[in-house]
Amino acid sequence: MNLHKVWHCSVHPDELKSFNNFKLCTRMQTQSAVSAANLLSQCAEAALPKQKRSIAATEFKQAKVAYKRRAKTQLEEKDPVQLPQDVLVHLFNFLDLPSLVSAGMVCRSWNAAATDNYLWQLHYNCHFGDSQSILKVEGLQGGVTAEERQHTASNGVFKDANYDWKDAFRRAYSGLPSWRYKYNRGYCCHCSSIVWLSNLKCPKKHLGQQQLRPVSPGQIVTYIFDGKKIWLLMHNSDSESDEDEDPGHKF
Amino acid sequence: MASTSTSTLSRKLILKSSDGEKFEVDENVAMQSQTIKHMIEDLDDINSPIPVSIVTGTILSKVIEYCKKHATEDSDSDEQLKQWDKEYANNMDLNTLYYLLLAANYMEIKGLLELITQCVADMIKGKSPEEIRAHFNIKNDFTPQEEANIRNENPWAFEN
Repeated sequence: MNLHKVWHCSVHPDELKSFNNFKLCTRMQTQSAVSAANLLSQCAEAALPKQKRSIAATEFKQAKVAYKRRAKTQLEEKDPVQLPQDVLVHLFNFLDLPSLVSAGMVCRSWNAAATDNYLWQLHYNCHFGDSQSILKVEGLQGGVTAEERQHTASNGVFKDANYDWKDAFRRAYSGLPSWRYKYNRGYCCHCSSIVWLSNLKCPKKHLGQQQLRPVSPGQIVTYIFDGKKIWLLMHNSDSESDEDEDPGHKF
Repeated sequence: MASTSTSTLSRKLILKSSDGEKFEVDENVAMQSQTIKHMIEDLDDINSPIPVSIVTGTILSKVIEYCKKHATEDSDSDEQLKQWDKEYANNMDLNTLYYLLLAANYMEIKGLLELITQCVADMIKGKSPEEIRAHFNIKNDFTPQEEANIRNENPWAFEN
């Protein structure tokens, strides 16, 4: 009898602690806290006398229910509704290039929207002129096979809905190394001047198509000091020797 | 019960949200929504509530707040209106923004759609995929293989 009392006393603080732990765990709201609570309930079952064991079990069950309920409301509150694809595409239209590519890596539905063909055709038009100029650009790319080029040139596939605009953009973008230097300046054919680019576009936001050419700091210095015409001449002669530039393009 | 052609200026419309809440608004306020505009054209009885089926009362009241502000164009300068728009969007939590985006898209309210889209787009800008997931509480549902493939496809966009 005495022994039992002593044992009971000794188990008492532990028991208290475990009850407190249940409450603590469920307040923590994480999956690992739940598994910790599971373990605790097993311990309690082994260590506690019958009566206390059932109290521990009820406490544990209540805590679990509370946890599940909380998790559910949390899901409803925090997990935003899935946006439909057309809204996502519209949303991604507002993004700059690296952000668009990042968004495509978020989840499946975002990826589907971020690889939307129409979106990339728009980007293509903004960065490399109208779709027609794909012929010129493609013609200059080393990475494109002759066969592919011929295919593009012969029947104007760029109007084809199956044309992969993201791929075309990628090739054009990586094929023009000067874009990648990100000097943030470019020559806008619309304004006939060098502009600071906003988001790789002319800040004046021309409606319709715009043609931009990347400009290196060296070229800007020449532009400023020698005047536009001389610079244009020099630039044209430069581009003739430089395969990356479009020699047929008029500045 | 057919509609009588009373003065179009002061006509009132009743909008009914998906959860049954009713809002009485001036016609010129409601007409900013292309969807409602089309609905009214087909409506015989102007006094019956117009159901806005996918929008809850909480969200609809916010949409109406926007429309009311933008219905009275001349009272504010462009600058003031822009400032108001900015504060309006900044006061929304993420979930509300999501539902507003859906509502503006469904109701075809161009200005509101642009405003909210820009606001959400600004949240995405400059973030890594992980940061975007954390910010919008989106689950990564790619398999590791798929994710690796996509990662390998895209480094060109981040090259300097």
